[in-house]
Amino acid sequence: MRKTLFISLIVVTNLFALSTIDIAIKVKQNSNGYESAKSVIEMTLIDQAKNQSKRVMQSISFENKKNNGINGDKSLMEFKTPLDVKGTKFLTHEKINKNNNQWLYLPALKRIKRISSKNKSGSFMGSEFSYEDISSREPSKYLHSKNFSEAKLDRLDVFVYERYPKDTNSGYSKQVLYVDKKSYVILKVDYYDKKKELLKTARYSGYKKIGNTYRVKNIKIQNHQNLKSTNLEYVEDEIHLNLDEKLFSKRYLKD
Amino acid sequence: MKRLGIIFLLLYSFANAEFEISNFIGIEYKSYIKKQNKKDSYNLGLTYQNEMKYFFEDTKIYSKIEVLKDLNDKKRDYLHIDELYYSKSFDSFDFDIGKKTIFLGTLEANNLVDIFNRQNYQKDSLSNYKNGSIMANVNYFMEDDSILRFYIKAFEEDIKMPSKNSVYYPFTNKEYSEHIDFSNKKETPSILTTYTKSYDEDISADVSFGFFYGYDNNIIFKDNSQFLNPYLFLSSKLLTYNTFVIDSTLYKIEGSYTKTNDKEKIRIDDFYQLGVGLEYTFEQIYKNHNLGLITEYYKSDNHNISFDNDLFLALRYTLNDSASSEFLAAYVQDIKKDDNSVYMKYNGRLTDNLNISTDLRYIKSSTYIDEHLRFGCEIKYYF
Repeated sequence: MRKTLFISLIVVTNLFALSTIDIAIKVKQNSNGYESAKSVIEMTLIDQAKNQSKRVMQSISFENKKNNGINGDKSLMEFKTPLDVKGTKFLTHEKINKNNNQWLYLPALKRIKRISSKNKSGSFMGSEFSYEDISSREPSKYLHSKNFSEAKLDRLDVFVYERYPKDTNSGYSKQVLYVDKKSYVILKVDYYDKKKELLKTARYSGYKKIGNTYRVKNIKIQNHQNLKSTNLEYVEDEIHLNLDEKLFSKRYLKD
Repeated sequence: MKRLGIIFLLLYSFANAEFEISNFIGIEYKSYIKKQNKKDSYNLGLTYQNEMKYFFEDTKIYSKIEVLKDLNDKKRDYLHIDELYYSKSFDSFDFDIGKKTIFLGTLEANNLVDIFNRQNYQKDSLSNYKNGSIMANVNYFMEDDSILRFYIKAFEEDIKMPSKNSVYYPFTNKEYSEHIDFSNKKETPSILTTYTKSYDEDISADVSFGFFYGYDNNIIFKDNSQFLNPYLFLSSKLLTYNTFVIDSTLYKIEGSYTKTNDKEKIRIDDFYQLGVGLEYTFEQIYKNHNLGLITEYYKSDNHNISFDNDLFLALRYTLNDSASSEFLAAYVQDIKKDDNSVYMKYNGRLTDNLNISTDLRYIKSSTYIDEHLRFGCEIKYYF
């Protein structure tokens, strides 16, 4: 009896000691450790009339382990469809509290073009995802609510808390996150626009754990204002590939 | 036994290779609403493009074939192997050999340093379509991510033009011969070397410098009483092209200095070309729509080239929708002369495989095609 009481006390104490930033850091830590990854991503755009349009991308990414507070991860994405943009490549060197460095390779012109990356809230490839939705979620990019609550989502126990983007170019005033209490992975995010109205809801599913790293398989995002939605599926996803950082340079912006 | 070994090796490399193929067929229509007398009032053409990539370990073979069949101007017809090259990657350098197209530059309206490939005048004299050139090149990748590139072009191919009836035939009633006269030997190679480095300190920047020696990209058309034919002269060029990113605005500079050989013969002195520009995008001005503002200025002391004192202004309206719809409106004004040009274009997708573009272009030029107005439309089906 005394032992049970003691354990309960530790659990309660730990729970009370937990802050939203702790949860955010644990969520980030759970997605860390992929080292380098190669994915094939299928994105289905669904309009109000339920017409569907498909996009396929191949992506490689490189985790920045030297967390110096300046440089984030690197990624190189190649568009496979629609066929008129096939071969277009998008190289991103992420910065934590600065605009990312980004280059675009346009195969029809054989041109490498540096692009300005202020655009956080713009649509990614005509989908309901914005550029900030698909970039990595460094906790330091946000302010977090003081408190969190506990709730049930699809019969799972979740933490619910809010975060507020620090970047003035963000398209959101706040995001409400639903994080699985057991595994510390994001299950749902409600995005609120600058007018503080609910804009989008993203649902994450099909997580798999490889080593200590959680990888999501499906993300469904529903826009409540224009009634369009986008399903994103990681058709292939390999991690711990030991890719050379040199692959994420302008050398590979070519046919 | 030896033959069997070769067959086995070929089969092994084929089985382990990645192969990609893509095509489009298209139809292009241009209607000339304002044109010079006795010129064709329209062009209707069928287009086809095939692109193939074959990867095996560090080796790549790439080919791009382009076909144009014009239904009323046979001189526009072509089947070009635009690119066909072999590429091998080593630890710190790549080696490519074959027919290839390269791009140099940073500006939007006119890339004055994009001098290595020649323009495809058959496709459209008013656009920047280029023909591939036979070349070898080596790209060295340094430890600091800078890149040193060497190119050598073996020879120049004939320069073809549309027929005399075309609105874009530049020689009034004179006959044109595509055979090139050279100021030196035909076999004299053209060489180009460029050095590119990216900076990521307070200002993010891509900075490039280059040197060129060989047959100049500018063409002299010599009058040989019966016909006109292209004449290529030798020159050396120092060139630079740079992009700077400051507070989400892109600042661009392109410049070159050309030293011509045989000045007395060709009557072209050494000359400079300079282009400066900026590009800024206003994001989400309505829903997800973006509005890009581009402004560029070009200056040169060679008044035989088209961008010698010209201002370019453009607006690019992007809808960010599933059809990737984009509208472009551009205006070019020659500051000293009364010449100007207005250009409007829409580009988007009807279905995932069907791309459409339409444009309206007005030109007023005292030295080229007087007053000209055209409507164009192109539909491409990708498979």
